[in-house]
Amino acid sequence: MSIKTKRKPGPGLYLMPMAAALPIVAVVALAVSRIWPTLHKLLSIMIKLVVKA
Amino acid sequence: MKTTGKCVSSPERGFAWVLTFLLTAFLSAALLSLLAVQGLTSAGMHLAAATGNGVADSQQAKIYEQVDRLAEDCGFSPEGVKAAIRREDLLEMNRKAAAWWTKLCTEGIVDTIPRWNAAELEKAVEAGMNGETRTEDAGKIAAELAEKIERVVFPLRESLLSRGMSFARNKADVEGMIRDIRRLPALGAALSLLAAGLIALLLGRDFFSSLKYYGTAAAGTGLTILATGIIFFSLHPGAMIEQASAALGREFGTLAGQITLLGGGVTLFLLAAGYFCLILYRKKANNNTKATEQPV
Repeated sequence: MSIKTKRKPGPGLYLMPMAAALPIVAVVALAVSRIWPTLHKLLSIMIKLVVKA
Repeated sequence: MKTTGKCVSSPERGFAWVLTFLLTAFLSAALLSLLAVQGLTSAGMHLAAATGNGVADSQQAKIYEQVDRLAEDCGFSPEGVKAAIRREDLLEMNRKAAAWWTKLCTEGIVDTIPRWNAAELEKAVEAGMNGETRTEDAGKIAAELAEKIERVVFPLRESLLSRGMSFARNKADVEGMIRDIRRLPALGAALSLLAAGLIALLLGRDFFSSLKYYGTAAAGTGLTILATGIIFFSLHPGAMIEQASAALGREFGTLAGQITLLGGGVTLFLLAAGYFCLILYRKKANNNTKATEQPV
């Protein structure tokens, strides 16, 4: 007779860092995709103003 | 029947996973802000970017082109003038430009931009005149050349920057904002320590279980930094600067390379440490499970 007190951790354990990182990366990607077009225009104008050709 | 140390109950495990996620978020925020703050305020990085490989050489080549053009227009021999524009002097001016950037980014002060010594250029122009040009014009030509050199090394509109900064200073506490931004990595680190401490408190003496959570957070942070770096560089921020000024774009490239190196090192360390913890945990947990599966 064998008794299991704890479940054996499988190779899926190595995917846990990806699961932890995914929501953060998703938020960063979403924020960048929303902000970047406006930020790009704003930065381009600022750089053109400040930098001599 | 053998049991293996303290068994953590299910709600505690769930709370530990929530803390692991928070630890990943705080650690990622701390390290990403550290990289950004280093890039913006590190005097060493600014200096390395301004005096990096090929920066002075490409500036010298561009200045020589302009000397040739001016020599053709004004009638003087360009060789002596080129000899007066030494690489060491250009590097010195780049060092001053780096100090200017550091002062702007760390104190919010727009200093006067570094100037090129026109007196030596004037002598060189005078010596190279072929009789068609009046010697009185040498001063004007030297001044124009000095301005061109300054523009190549430091292609910024100082007056506009100065006005913009004084406007910003009137509207907000710029120094305080810079100070707060520089404190962001420390704040992230403190929150990370708090989350790590709470995980340790929750698991008590179950050290090997905590390896699973810490390993996940460390490797997760490494992956987050890696993904954020890929997102950042896929936006081609250097191309915008390069369009306005090739020299400034090159310096930004050197700075970005240094931050990538630092970020890459941190990412590799976190991934290695995180997966090492996970491997260690799995090995130990498997051994423990085998021990408890012995026939009674």
